[in-house]
Amino acid sequence: MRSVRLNFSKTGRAIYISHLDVNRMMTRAVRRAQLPMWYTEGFNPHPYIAFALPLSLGQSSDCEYMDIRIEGDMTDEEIRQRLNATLPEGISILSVGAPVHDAKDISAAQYFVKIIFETDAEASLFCEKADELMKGAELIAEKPGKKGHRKIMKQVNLIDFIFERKITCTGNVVNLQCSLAAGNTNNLNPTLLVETIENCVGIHHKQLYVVRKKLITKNNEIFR
Amino acid sequence: MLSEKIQKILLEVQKPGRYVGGELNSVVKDKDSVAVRYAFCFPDTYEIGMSHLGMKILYSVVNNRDDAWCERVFAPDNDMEEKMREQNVPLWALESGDDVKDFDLIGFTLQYELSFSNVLNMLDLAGVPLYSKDRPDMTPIVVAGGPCACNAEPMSDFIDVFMLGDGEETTDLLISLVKKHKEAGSSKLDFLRDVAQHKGFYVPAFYDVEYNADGTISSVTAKETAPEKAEKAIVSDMDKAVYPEKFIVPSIEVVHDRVTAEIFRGCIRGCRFCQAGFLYRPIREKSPEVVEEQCKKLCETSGYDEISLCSLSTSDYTGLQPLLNSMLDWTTKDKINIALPSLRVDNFSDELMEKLAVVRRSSLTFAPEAGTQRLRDAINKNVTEEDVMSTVDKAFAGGWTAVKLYFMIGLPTETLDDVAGIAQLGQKVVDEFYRLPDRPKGKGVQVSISASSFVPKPFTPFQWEPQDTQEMLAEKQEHLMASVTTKKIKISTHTTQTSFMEGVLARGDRRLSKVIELAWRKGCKFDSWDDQFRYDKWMEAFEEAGIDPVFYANRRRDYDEILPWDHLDYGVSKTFLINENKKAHESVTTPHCRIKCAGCGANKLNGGKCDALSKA
Ligand code: SF4
Repeated sequence: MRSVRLNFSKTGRAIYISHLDVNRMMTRAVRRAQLPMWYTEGFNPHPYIAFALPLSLGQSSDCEYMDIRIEGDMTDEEIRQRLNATLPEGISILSVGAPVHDAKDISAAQYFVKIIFETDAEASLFCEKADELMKGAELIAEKPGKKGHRKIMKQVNLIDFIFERKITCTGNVVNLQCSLAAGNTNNLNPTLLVETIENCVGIHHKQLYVVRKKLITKNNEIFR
Repeated sequence: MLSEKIQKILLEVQKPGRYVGGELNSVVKDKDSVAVRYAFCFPDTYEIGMSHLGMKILYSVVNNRDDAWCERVFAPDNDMEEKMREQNVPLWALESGDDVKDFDLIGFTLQYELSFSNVLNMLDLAGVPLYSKDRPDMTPIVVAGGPCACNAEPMSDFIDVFMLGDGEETTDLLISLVKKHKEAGSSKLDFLRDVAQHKGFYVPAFYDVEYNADGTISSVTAKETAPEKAEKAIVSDMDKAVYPEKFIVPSIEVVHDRVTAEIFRGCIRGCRFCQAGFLYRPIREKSPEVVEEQCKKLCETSGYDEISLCSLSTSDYTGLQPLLNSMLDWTTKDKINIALPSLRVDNFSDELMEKLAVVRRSSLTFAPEAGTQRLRDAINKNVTEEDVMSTVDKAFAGGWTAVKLYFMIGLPTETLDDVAGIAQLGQKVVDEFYRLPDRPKGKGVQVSISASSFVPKPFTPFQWEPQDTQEMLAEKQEHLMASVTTKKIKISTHTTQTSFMEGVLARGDRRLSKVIELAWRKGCKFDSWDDQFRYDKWMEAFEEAGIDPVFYANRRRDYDEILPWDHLDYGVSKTFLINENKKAHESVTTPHCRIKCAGCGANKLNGGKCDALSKA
């Protein structure tokens, strides 16, 4: 038995499939690909499949990871090819290899965010204001949280969760490249960041595209 | 492929995965290379529609052709509809994301009467005029099939062509005809004239209906090229019928998410209340080898780990035991469950039961349908109390403590004693549990009784019967509740309003098209969903149209009355149905078709052949 980590992308129509559904889809995909899966022991044996860091519905990604355990000596390349032959549109295995990092050590994610506005003026206004706000000391947003068992809205300072950012504007399009807190303890969704800024500026985008590019570990290495 | 407009609203609705397509095994073609584009519409949500076998079959039939492309369309949920209307996004087809209104053919499957309002809603969302007469062009042609096409009259103002019976061959022919007439530049009328001549098609506009003063039909006259009676189509050889090699594997969870294999069509039982049992006659079996081969293929291409062998009465499949024995070899190895819905377990070997998913379900189900032997005889439900008892014995011995029993109330000839009989039968099951020495220890028994309301349907021996009024049904429901004396029995009943509406539409005539439109305009849709059904709106619609729904639901018809579906021919003869009706009133049973052919007449559609006789 050996552990294998598969890096896959989620694009196009597949971005509307939830994390839970991707899980189910992959369970079927490994059956179709006839991978020699290792099964858990016990009353209800099932193949071992685990995912790193869920992705929000509607976002694309080049850095999805799935760990599986296999028996026998099927090569990484064969696993990749067999799976790719049987995956739905928008899901594609990019690479296969032995796991290096522990998913618990993920601390940040890099995103490319494309924000399209109705007009050029709106875009440049947003760009300018966003730059200013993200340079500041405080950018407060409300996030659903818990106090004991009660659900409450918590005030959080997003600045604490922005590690890197670069914002540019061409025409009515704003491009934001950023590295934001991600992982089990802290998490900042780029959509929340964009919407918080928009609320401050008082404008709203026409279309928003988010691509998760890389996961970063606490030692500042690229997760793989 | 999805337009920006669609993309924008997708993230504002629940479960957007329902609206995007792109699932494994869905078919994408180059639209410029096909002659006919077919939008197959299921008038309910994605989760329900994607569970439906007929759609999968017809999807293959069309997409197997190089010159045609079939895509899927489902009813958007309310939140999505709101966004679509607000942002002016017309209904699109999942595969291409293209507008439904631009398709050559728009086909609906009518699985239940209470989905009729959804058909109107979907046409409207697509931007297609509701009424056939308001669509003068050759395309789009709006067609409809499925079991409710057997009395399509209430929908006849909206639909250009109905497809009667098995859809495999008629769908293929329809595509060819549309192609031919599109290429020839025919008018819609030319096309309809051609279609109407072929078996399995019914063009309602080619029939004139006249009424008597009392509201009954005085005459139905065929005109143009239409035959006097439109005959249903049947697939003669199930082994040769098109069956998908691949199922679309939904990316999100749907109701039935598994491989489905159809083992035979039709039924030998002749339960008098059951429309399916008559509509799909004569019985035609698929051979076990073909079933197994299809299952294997489908498992490989889908990755599913469950196979459901489906039919109207699984135990009647002559090849069942050999099929299961052969299949279990590989399904066990590949960790695949076999499910057998509508299986009677009382005469099933213990060894096989153990290996099957039937026994792994948390509760065992059984359908005696009526509470007393007298009434079971009247409805020709061939189940005795001993059958029920031997089934539950097996279940209890196997460790089950929950049993689910299905009944109907409001059956013709039913008395309050028959209703109380349901509770008594439930009680006997409870007693049986405590009588058994080897019952599961330390646990109580739970008997769930589901009592739905009977709705008389066309092409059954009960097509002339008055449906119980809502007051009668309510009284019977109360009587049933009162007859139960233990907490170990749980009763669930259905709302009588829903059954009433179902009954009206099931045996309605063309005058109801107006009512359906009015009800839809008042906001009726998803009528089969209890939380969305608006009885008050439907009643307002009847009021405004000046039509009394009671006329359709609660009236007894004479045998010689012209029924709204009499000009359709589903094989079973009226004489046979009358005979069965009379026998019901005398509580006389009819043996099933393998014991003795009852002469229903359906075999005439299959060149005189009936598998009940040749495979007895
Ligand atoms: S032809 Fe005879 S055997 Fe066949 S379905 Fe009809 S009654 Fe039954």
